[in-house]
Amino acid sequence: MEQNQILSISQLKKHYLMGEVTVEALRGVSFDVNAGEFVVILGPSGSGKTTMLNILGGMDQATSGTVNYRGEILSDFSEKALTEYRRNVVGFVFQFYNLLGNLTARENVELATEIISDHLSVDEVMEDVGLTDRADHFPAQMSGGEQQRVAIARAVCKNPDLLLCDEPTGALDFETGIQILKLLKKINVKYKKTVIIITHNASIAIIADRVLKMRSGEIVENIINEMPMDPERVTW
Amino acid sequence: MGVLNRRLIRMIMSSKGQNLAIAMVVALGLMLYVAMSSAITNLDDAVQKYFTITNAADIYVEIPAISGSEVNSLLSVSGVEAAQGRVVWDVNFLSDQKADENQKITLRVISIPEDAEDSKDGMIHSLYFQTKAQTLASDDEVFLIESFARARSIEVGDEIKIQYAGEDHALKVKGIVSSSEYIYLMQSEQSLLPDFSNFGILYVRESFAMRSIASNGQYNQVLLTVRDSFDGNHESVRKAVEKKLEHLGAQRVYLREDQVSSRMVQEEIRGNKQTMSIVPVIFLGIAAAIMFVMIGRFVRNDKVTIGVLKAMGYNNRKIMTHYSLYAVSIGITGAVLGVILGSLMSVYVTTLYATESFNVPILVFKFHAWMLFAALGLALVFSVTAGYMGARGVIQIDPAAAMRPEAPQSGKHIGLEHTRFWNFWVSFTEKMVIRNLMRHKLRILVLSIGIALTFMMIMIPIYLLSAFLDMFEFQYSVMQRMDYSVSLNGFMADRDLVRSLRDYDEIDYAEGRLEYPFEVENGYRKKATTVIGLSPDTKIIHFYELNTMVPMVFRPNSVFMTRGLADNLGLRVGDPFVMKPYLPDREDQVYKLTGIIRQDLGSNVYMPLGTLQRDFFGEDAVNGAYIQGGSDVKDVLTDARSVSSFMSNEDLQNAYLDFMQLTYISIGMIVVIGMFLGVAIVYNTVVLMINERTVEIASMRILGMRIGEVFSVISREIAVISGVGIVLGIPLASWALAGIGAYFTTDLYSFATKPQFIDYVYAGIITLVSIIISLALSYRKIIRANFVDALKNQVS
Ligand SMILES: Nc1ncnc2c1ncn2[C@@H]1O[C@H](COP(=O)(O)OP(=O)(O)OP(=O)(O)O)[C@@H](O)[C@H]1O
Ligand SMILES: [Mg+2]
Repeated sequence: MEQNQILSISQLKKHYLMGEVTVEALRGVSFDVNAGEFVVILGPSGSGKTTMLNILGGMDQATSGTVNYRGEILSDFSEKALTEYRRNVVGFVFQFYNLLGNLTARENVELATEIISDHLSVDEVMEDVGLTDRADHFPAQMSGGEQQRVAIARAVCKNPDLLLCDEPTGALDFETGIQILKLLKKINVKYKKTVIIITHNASIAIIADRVLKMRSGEIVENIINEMPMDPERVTW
Repeated sequence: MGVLNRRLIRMIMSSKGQNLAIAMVVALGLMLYVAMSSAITNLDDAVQKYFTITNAADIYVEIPAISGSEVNSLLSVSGVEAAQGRVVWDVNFLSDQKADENQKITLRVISIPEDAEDSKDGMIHSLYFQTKAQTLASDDEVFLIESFARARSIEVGDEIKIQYAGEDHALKVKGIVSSSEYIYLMQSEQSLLPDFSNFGILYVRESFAMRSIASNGQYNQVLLTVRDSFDGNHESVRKAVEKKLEHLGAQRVYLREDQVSSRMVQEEIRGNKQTMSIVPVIFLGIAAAIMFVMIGRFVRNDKVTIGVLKAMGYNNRKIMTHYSLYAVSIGITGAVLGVILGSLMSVYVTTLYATESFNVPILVFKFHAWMLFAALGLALVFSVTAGYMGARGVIQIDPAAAMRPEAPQSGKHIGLEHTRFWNFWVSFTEKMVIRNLMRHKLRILVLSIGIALTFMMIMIPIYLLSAFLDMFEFQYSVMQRMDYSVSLNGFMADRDLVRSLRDYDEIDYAEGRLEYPFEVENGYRKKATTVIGLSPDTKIIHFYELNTMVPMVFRPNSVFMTRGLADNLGLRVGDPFVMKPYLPDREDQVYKLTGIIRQDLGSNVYMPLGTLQRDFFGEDAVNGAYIQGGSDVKDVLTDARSVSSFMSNEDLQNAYLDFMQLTYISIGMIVVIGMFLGVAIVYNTVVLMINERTVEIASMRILGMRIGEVFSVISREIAVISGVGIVLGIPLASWALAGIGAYFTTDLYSFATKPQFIDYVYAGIITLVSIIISLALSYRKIIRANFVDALKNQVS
C-alpha cells in the first residue's frame, strides 16, 4: 500500500440471500482512495452505492473481498474494533439526515464530541455550516437543508479521517444542494479530510478529485480529475 | 450533563403521565412496605422491650388450687428463676349506667403478690403506670386496666362496684395500669374480639383476693420465669413443671407463645412481616414488567437513532445504559416518593397500633434508616434489571440495516378473504382490527396478561369483602341459631336447667350445653381448645361439610372438629386422637374424628353431651345453655343466680360489624390500589401501542379517517384484548384466592367461602371501568399525534 493511500478496496462482494434468489449488490469492486481526496461515487439507483459505503463505514460486512484502511483489514476487526473504527475514523452523513428528534441542532453535534477526545470545536463547526443562529432549534423546526447541515456538522465535528456521505444532497433543491457541496469541499480543504460522497447526479462529478462510476454492483469507470471545479459551477 | 442525559430527560418529560403512573406503582409498593414494616418493627421492638421491663412470665400454670409452698417448690425445677402464685377470678362489674342495664360486664380480678409489688421487687408481669407508680395501701384499693378505664371513662379516685358470689364490693381505683399480659385484651379465645367496655382487668391486694375470692387460701395460677442463662429450651422447663405438678391433678401449663394476648400480637407481627416481604415484590414486579415492555418498544422505535449512535461509534453498553437509565429514573422517583409517603404513613400506622389494637404503652414511633435504604435498593435492583433486559434489543440492531427506510410491515392473509362473510359482513374498520390483532399476537398476549393481573387484583378485595360477609352470615345465622349463649357458675343437671329456663315466658327454647377447655393431642402435636358438648338433636348448632356445604347429621357417636384445628393436629376423618381434660382425677380419652366441619370463626371440637358426661363430667351435667328468645331474655339472665355470663348473638354480631369497619376501609383501599394498578397497566400499554404506531395512525389520518374512527379501531382492538384478558383472569384469580384462603386461615379464622359468580361479575365490571378510564386518558395522545411530523422525514 502506498504511503498516501488511506483506503484500498479489493474484490469486494456483497450478496443478499432473498429466499431462492441471491441479489448480488456488489460483484467484486476494487479501487483505492488517497488521503485528502474528494471522491464522488456515481451510479443509478440500485447499483450498490449505499451498500459499499456502509461497508467502508464499518457498518456492514462484505461477503468477500477486503477493505484495507491504512494497512488494516476491516473484515478482521472484532465488533469492538469496528466500534472504535466508527468512533475514531469515520464520519457518516446519511441520506435522510437521521438527526435525533429530541435533541437540538447543537446537541446533535455535541453527541459526537461526547465520545471523542480530540474533536473539533462545536462552535466553529456550527459556524462553518452556517447554523450558529439555529443552534437551539429542534430538527422538526428546521428545513431539510438545515437538517442536512447539522448532520454534516455532527460528522465533521468528530474530526474523522474519512467523511462518508450517502447522497447528502438527494433530498435538497438545487441552491441548497450547492451550499452543501461547497461545505463539504470546504471541509475537505480546510480540515484536510478524505471525503467520499455518493450521488446519482452526474453533474456533481466535476468537483471531485476522483470519480467512481458504478453500475450493477461493479465499478465501470475510475476517473482521476486533474482539475476539480468549484461547486458553484455545478449545474443540475 | 451529557447530551444523551438531556435526551433522556426530554424523553421522560414527553410522557410524564405514563411515567408518573409507573413511578406511582413503585411508590405505592414501597409506601406500604415502609409504612407497615416500620410500624411492625416498632411494635415488635416495643413488645420485646415491654416484656423485659415488666418481667413477663415465660410459663403460665392454671390449676384448681395450689398452696404457697407448692408454688415455691417449683423453684427447684431446673431453669426456673422465679415462681409467683396468684388468684385469678372473673367477677361481675356493676354499672349504674342505663345502657348497661341488661349487660353482663366482666372484670378479671388478679391478685398482686404480697412480697413483690412491682418489678423492682421481682413481680412477674409487673404493672405499667402511665404516671407515677402506686401501691395499694388497703384492701379496698385497686388498679384498673387502662383500656377498660378509657372505654368507661373511669378515672383515678373513682369508686367501682363488683359482685362476687352474690356479694357486692365497693372498691376505689387507686391507679390506671397497663400489663404486658394483656396487650391484646380478650377474655378468652372464644370471644374472638376484644371488647374494651365489657371486659377488663382489676388488680387487687392478695389479702383481699384470699379473703373474698380464693377457696381456702390457695392460689389458682402460677407465673414462672425462666433463667436467661438456662441452656435448654422453655418447652423442656414447661414439661418439667407439668410433671412436678402432676400429683395436683388437672393443670394447664403453657408457654408465653401460647398465651392468648401474646399469641395475637405475635401472629399480627409474623403475618405482617410475611405480607411485607411479598407486597413490594408484587408492586415492583408489575412496575418492572411495564418498564421492561416499554423500553423494549422504545428500542424498537428508536432503531434509527440507535443505528446513528452505533454508526458514530457508541458501543452497546453505552446505548443500553442510556435506555436503562430511563427505567432507573422512574424507579428512583417512585422510590423517593414511596419512602417519603411511607415514612409519613408509618407514623400514623404506628399510632393506630398503639391506640386501637394493642396496648403497648411504651410503643413510640421510630424512624428506621435501613428500611429507606432497603426500599431504595430494592427499587434500584428492579429498575436496573427491567432497564437492561428491556434494552437488550440494542445489541441486535445493525447500523446499516437500521438506516434503510423501513418498508411497511407486511400484512398477512388470514384465510377469510374470499368468504362471503368477510366481504359482506365485515366492515373496513373491522378488517383492520382483525388484521392488526392477527399480526401482533405477542402484543395481545402481553396486554391480556396485564389485564388478567388487574382483574385478579380487583377480584381479591371483592372476594375478601364477600368472604367476610359470608363468614358472618354463616357463623351467626346458618351455623349458630341461638339468641343467647349462657355460661353457668358451675355444673347443673341438664333436665333441671332446661326445665327452669323453659318456665320463663320470655324464653322460647333452651337446651343444655357443656363447654370445657381440653388439650387435644395427636402424637407430638397438641393444641389447647374448647370442647363443646351438644345434645344429639340440637336445634341450635347446624353442621355443614367443609367443602360441599352439605348438612351433616350430628349423631350420638359423632366427633366433629373445625378445619384449622384438624389441620394443626394433622388429623383426617377416621383418625384417632387423645383428649386430655384440665380436670383433676380424670383419665385421658381417645376418640375417633368423624367429621371436619365448616366454622369460619374460632376453632372447636364438638361432641355429643352423652359422651362427655360419661367420660368426664358425670351423668346429665351441663355448664351452659343455648337460648332462643327476644331481647327481654336479657333481664331474666341478668337476674339469674346461676348464670355466670352470657353472650347475646346480636351483641356478637354488632361487635363483629364494628370490627369489620376497619377491615372495610382497608379493603376499599385495596380496591382503589387494584384499579390504580389496572389503569397504570392498561394506560401504559395503550400509549405504547399508539406510540409504536404513529406512522400507521398518521397514515390512517391522512387517508381521511377522523380521530374518532382511528380511536374506534384502537378501542375495538382493546375490547378484544380485554375480553381475552378477563377470560385469562378468571382462573388466575381463582388460583390466587385459593392461596389467600390458605394463607389467612389460622386458629381464629378460616376462609371457607368460595368466590361467587357475582364477585367475578363485579371484578369484571371494575376492570372494564379501569380500561375505559385508560382509554379516555390515551385519547388525548391520539389527538395530539401530529401526522405531518410522523411522515415528514425520518427524524426519530
Ligand atoms: N437488505 C437487503 N436485502 C436484499 N437486497 C438488498 C438489501 N439492501 C440492498 N439490497 C439490494 O442491493 C442492491 C444495491 O442496493 P443499494 O442500496 O446499495 O443501492 P444504491 O446504489 O444505494 O441505490 P439508491 O441510489 O437507490 O440509493 C439493490 O438491488 C438492493 O435491492
Ligand atoms: Mg443508496
